[in-house]
Amino acid sequence: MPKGIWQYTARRAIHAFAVIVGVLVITFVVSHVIPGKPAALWVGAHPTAEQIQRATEELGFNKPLYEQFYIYVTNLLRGDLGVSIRTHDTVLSDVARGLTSTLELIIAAFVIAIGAGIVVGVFSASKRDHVPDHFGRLAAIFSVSMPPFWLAMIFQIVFSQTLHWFPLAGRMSTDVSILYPLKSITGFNLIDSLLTLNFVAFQDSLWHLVLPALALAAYPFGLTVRMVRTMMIEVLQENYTRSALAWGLPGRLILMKYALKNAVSSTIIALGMSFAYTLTGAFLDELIFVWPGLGTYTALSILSLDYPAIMGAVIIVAIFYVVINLLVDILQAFLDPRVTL
Amino acid sequence: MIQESSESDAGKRQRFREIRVFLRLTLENSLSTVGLAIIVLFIIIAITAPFIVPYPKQAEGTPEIANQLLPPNWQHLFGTDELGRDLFSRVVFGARISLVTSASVVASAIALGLPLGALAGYYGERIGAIIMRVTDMFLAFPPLLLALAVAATLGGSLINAVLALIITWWPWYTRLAYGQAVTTRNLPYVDSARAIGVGNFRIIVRHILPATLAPILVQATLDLGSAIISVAGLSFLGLGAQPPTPDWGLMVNTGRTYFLQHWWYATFPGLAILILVLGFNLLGDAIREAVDPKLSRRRLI
Repeated sequence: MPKGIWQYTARRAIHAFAVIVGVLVITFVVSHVIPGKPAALWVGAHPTAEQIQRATEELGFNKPLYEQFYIYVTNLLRGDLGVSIRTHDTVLSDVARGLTSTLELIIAAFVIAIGAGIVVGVFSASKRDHVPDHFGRLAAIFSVSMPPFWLAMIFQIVFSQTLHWFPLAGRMSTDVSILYPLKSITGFNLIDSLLTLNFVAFQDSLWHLVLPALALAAYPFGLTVRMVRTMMIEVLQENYTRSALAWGLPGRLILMKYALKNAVSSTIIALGMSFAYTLTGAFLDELIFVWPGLGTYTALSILSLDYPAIMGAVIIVAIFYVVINLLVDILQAFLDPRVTL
Repeated sequence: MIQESSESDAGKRQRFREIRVFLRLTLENSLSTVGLAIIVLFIIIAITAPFIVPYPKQAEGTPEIANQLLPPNWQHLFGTDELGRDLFSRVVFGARISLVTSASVVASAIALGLPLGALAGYYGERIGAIIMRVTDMFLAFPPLLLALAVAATLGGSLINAVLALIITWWPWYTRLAYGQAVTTRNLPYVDSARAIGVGNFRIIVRHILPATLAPILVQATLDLGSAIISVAGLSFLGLGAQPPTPDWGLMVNTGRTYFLQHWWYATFPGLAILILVLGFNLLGDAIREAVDPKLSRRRLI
């Protein structure tokens, strides 16, 4: 156990808490202070004068700003994010429903990105400046340059419409969900279907997951390749690698046993860096694959000007993101003691 | 009497050498040459757009209903859209919008973030702490997310999308400039300048800001690419350009309704985004590798 890790964890946790307060201040400024017609935004597309009047009073837009902020924060602490104009359900329950399905997608994308990213990155570094390296780097740079929504559409045309390998959209086929209904335990389809030994549903869910997860994996894949490659190249120049080589250890052993260990921490950094991007990338990806998650919810809210839903989703995703960052930092401190110094 | 040399001649020569090495390494690397060529090509296309496209009127939105959704052919290289407009002309015009919007986002973010970061890093103490805490708050958001909220509040238009992105982008430059300023603050040449009574403002402008230039340049090149994707993403959600603007993101969005039967509609504008962003990333990556001393050592295995 590295020394000082608990102090570090505590310090990071306090910092994360301060940042969440900051997040609330910024979202408050965006939704209450930016000039415009905040009350009109809260009631929807074609507000009547009465509706605006009522919203102004309910949300306290006629009160002084500090009082508005107090109302805003107390509402949030009670979990009251308002009611969605589009679904007529509370924003909190809407968002909670979408969250696990989005997580399933993001985790699947990360598994693909990490696996493929480490393999390509290590291979690229070991053949530095030769043909395989050029291909590896090109693949990495292509995948970070890809507009995520466009890649998703191209996948649909090629792998679904033309080749019929994978379903076009959705999370499960209608016939499967009727004939082999899935009992929701964790909210993750793949886990639930395994727990209930519902293999038809498992296969169907997995098949639906492939294309959206692949499309979403592009960016973290590119970043992982780049980070792992850079790290490997550095390690391969270190003195201890040179000594190992001088001792006559085979190159592959050095690569796998000594160098790859160092790739772990760079992979974690790459994931931390790409998490934000993947999270918002999931918004567009889900919309295109009609994946019933937080992203589709937010995107549809934006398209229908459902303001309470937009702001609610933004706040929850931002807080979620701060917490994930905190966890990544702590995890990294455990793996690499130099961080806490 | 001791004179303040203008950013010390040695420093200036040093910077000159840096820039030369930059250029040489950049041009030696074939991938970065490709990147640079792509960017230059798109800039030329953007400037000459009205003269090179076959249907400039349609590019700006005039419909031609008789030619709805034609597949690519010799009259319409990229096919036509649901209003019969020539997609090739519209994609070419889109280069103007993408380049201008992404350049405005990045330039404004630098104009806002760089001085703040330099200020915070130079003074440290309380001013620095306040600026950096505010910066931290903004950096706590996933980048596109805050832009979504701001753009949704302001209402969908290209200008608002650019504004929203500037609001979310400046803190990255503040942090970058802050780091550079902190390391430069106590270097001998800055200390000497202070010792002979050069004012703080002058020190920041003449000595601190130039030192932040190289990393900012790398970051800006890469960010131009990300800004293009972000603007397109906002347009894709209806929070950016509005019809009939020939914006790439908007075209992909409209094309979504038709693309399973008419593949060309969304494919070509998306391809344009990919290629231009690729250009910026190739160039930015090569420059970064050129300036990173850790990577330029000789290799063994």
